[in-house]
Amino acid sequence: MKIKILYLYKDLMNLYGEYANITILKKYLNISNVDVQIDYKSINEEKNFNEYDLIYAGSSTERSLIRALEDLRKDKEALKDYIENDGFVLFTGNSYEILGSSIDQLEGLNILPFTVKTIDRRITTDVIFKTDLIEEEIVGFINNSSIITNNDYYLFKSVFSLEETIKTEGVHYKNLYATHLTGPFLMRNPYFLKYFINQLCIKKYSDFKLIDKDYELLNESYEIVLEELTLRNEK
Amino acid sequence: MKIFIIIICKATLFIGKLFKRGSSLPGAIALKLDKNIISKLDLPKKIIIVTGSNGKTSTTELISSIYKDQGFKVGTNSEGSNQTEGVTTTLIKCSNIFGKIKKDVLVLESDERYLRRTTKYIKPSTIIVTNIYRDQMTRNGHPEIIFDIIKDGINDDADLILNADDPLSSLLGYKRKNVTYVGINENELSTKKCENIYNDGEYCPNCKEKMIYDYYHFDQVGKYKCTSCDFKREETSYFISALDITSGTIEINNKYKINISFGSLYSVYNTLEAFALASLEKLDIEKVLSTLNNYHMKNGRVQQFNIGNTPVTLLTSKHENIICYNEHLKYITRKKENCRVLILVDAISRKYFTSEMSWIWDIDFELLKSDNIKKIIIAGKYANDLDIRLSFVDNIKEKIIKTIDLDDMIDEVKKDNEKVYLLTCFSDRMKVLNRR
Repeated sequence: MKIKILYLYKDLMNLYGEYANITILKKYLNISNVDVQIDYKSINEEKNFNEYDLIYAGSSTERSLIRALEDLRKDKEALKDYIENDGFVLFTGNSYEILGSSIDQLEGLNILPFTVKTIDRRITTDVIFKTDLIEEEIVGFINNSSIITNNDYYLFKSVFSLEETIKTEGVHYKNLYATHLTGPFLMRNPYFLKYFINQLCIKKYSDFKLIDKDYELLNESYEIVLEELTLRNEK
Repeated sequence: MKIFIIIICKATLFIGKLFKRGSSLPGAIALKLDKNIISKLDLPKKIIIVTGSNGKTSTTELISSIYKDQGFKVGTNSEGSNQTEGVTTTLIKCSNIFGKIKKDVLVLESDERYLRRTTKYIKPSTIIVTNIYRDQMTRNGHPEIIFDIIKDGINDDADLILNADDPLSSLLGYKRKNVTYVGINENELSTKKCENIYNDGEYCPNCKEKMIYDYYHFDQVGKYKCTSCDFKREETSYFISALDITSGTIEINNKYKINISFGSLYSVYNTLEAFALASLEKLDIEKVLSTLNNYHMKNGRVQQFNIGNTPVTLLTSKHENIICYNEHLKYITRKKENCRVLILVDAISRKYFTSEMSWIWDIDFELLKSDNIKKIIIAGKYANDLDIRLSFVDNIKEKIIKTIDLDDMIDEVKKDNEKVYLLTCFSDRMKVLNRR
């Protein structure tokens, strides 16, 4: 079994250690006997989305995001087709903002209907989210200057955060998963990691069975953070 | 009214000192009573502000010491009082009740996020920007945000001293006249490739096209040039012409030899910036060299003590300050003696609560592979996250011991007399010092 990952703009969109999402994903796919090939493509490089099982991009500064958006404009139709044809996408941090109709005055890729407005202050907060996709809560951190509106396909609902404007968050549309959660979000949420691995692999290999080995440390870490944040929420 | 506010502020400061309380409250009260209070004070003509991600306190202290040794009366703020309230407290402390500051020169450290608020009321004659790096991103967002804030806070007629090797610091001087650049020449520590987890110099901060480097000192710091626009590392007026990091000696402009207090590149930049300022101000260079050669870091970032019979060197860095953490790891790998490394993460920051641990993925823990590091003890509430992080570094698994409980951590240290280097943050270090 083999999964091919296209890692977009790793040299440009590299904040908050989000490369670790792919590092962790590769490790746990390997544990389930799945080989992983990772290709890196960036500015002015040809991107053949249909050759891949998963497309990933992570957080960047606002100016870097605009640069990536301009680069991706020529591939807009190809990316839209990939998503509409149930291709897997994971966009963490602010990377998914390019998929919407606009970022302030700038036109987006128009693949999804949401709009993005940048605000003057920085939103930074620990969060607890929940999702219909798994039982366990999601923990993480948000670090951006964006307000998303007109989002019909949210991924998470807020359980705890210090930022009132966050009620629903992220995008889940077909096999596109996007969230503003920064950092190695898959590592911090081992239950979501398992869910994601299952979804990704079962689509390609219908008799795929996840091997539940070596998750203990991730689970322990997760429990500690969930406890810390829950206590904070109760204060 | 002005006199009244000054008296209130001085009284609050005096009372605060009796209770060993902080120095922002008096200034905060003064600003509440009159937000323009600073501009009503009679300030000296020479006002130097030091800002940036790393090295503000050290550089401010170096410059203050230089001026004091030359016989000047210096008004300066100490660490922790670098936001606008703290600066206000310092200014009022230095003034008489009529608001006249009886100092020849002000050397002020400014928190980079508050520079623009402070410079609304004080017009500095010189601003030194030490660097703009990934630092406390859970509060600061990312370095380009800090760049924008600092840029906003620079008044047109201020002379700037900038770090030519750091693209973002340098960009503040782009197409600007009154700028002096300082930097380190290529040396034995420089590398041709970026040997770091991330490279913030891959793309030009001015136009976001590719940048190329002749050499790197560390991270994105080095000699760079944009492949598209004319942004590049500028010529330096003050430069490190020779460097021996192990013995801690540097040479500035092919001429001036100095012993720095701690063998790391960030100390080198601090010293260079202070020297540049002193030289531009035409101070007595012999006295400047004497000050710099005899300077010992006061802020206690590096401390030596014992746990039982084990000698420990404490290397403190804010957890989320990537470059400083990396520099400390490099410092350890340059030591010849065998040692153990103790990494303690029990709380992430002393200033705010968070569980955000992304920063450990930006740190170059590959450095722990060094032969002289015989054991790695990871400790504290977030030791599991460290365990996961280190599981991706080849060939160190057998060296790692994990102790979540802090008393267990002390027991583990005491098992052996082998030297320990302790890497931790300012609040966590007390948990070790208190358990000696």
